[in-house]
Amino acid sequence: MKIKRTTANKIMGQASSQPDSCLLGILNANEQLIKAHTVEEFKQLLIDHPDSILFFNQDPLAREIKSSIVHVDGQQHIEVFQETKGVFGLRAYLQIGKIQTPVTLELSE
Amino acid sequence: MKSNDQIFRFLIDHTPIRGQLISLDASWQKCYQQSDASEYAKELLGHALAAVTLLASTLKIDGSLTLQIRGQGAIHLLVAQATNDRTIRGLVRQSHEIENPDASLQEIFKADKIVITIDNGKGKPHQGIAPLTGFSLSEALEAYFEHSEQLPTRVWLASNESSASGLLLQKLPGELEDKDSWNRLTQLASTITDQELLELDENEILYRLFHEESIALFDAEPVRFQCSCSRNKTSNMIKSLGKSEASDILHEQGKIQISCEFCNANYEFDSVDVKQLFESDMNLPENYTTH
Repeated sequence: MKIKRTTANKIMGQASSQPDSCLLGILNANEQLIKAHTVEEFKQLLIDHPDSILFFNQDPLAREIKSSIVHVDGQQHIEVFQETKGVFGLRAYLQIGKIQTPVTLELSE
Repeated sequence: MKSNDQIFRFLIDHTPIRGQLISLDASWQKCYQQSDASEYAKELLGHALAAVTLLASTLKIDGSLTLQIRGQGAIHLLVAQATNDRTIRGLVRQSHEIENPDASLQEIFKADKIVITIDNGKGKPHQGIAPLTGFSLSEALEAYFEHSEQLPTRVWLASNESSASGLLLQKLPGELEDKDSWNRLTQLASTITDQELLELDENEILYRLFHEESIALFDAEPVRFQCSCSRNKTSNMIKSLGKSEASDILHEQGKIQISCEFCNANYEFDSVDVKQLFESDMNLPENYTTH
């Protein structure tokens, strides 16, 4: 999966500004970050932007909303993780069947 | 004369077999013209739009039916959606040239599944997944019906730059008085050519295929292209970006542009629009003035 370095920075920026709250949304075809706060908003975003990448952090609400959606095969996901408090990282996955398979996240300039 | 942007339902008397014919014209043109994919990819989109409209009208849904194939191939995304109001929209995305157009759909999409989602607007949508098989969308859909143990269904699809058409036959539950009727009628329907499907009107098609049968043809129902995007929806998306992100985009690009993936509608928001959205002070670019 390839995204712009600036986009990755924006996701990390969002994550660090709200480390303990739900971060969930999509990167649309132009790599604009569009956030969702409810299941309905998230569902609508995915319908309106089929060619999008989904991003989420490890907040329980983000996971709950994400798990309530039926993920389409081939859907790309970016997880914002925080293994050390205050230090964020990104992991990319590709939905294959019911499994999210880790894939390499490449950053372009 | 051929009726356009209409769907016709018909019943074959003395059999539990129903059918539908669809012809998309202006609604198809909207989707066709908005795509910059190859003719092959657009032909597939035409097939998909005709198919979802046929399928949506066989189901009693109060929402939408979406067909989606997503992969890593030359064509990496195909989405076609029809609603219970008989509105359609769709898109196809191609990342590079198709090396072998005679290859199977699985090779062209580098995908192995076709996904059909039925969203009734309440709760979790129902999603049916089947292997992506065959060389055409009709073959893939027929495999889907077999795989998902639904009613026996056959579809024939055709599209070109001006029209997208389809024919569906479905065997309803019930005993066949004439045991051979399903086999006979599908064999007859299989003789239809793409040209006939695209150019002939509903009466002519039914006469050519089933002139020895007694058929009840119902009134036509109109189909139209409609995208659910709006400036209001886009405003909400910008709100969801957050003030800081919105302000950054304004600084970088002077305005925020969001395009609809389905209809290519381009929504632009300048600093004044954005400021109104957030209804509070933002660090706007200095060269922008507000009312």
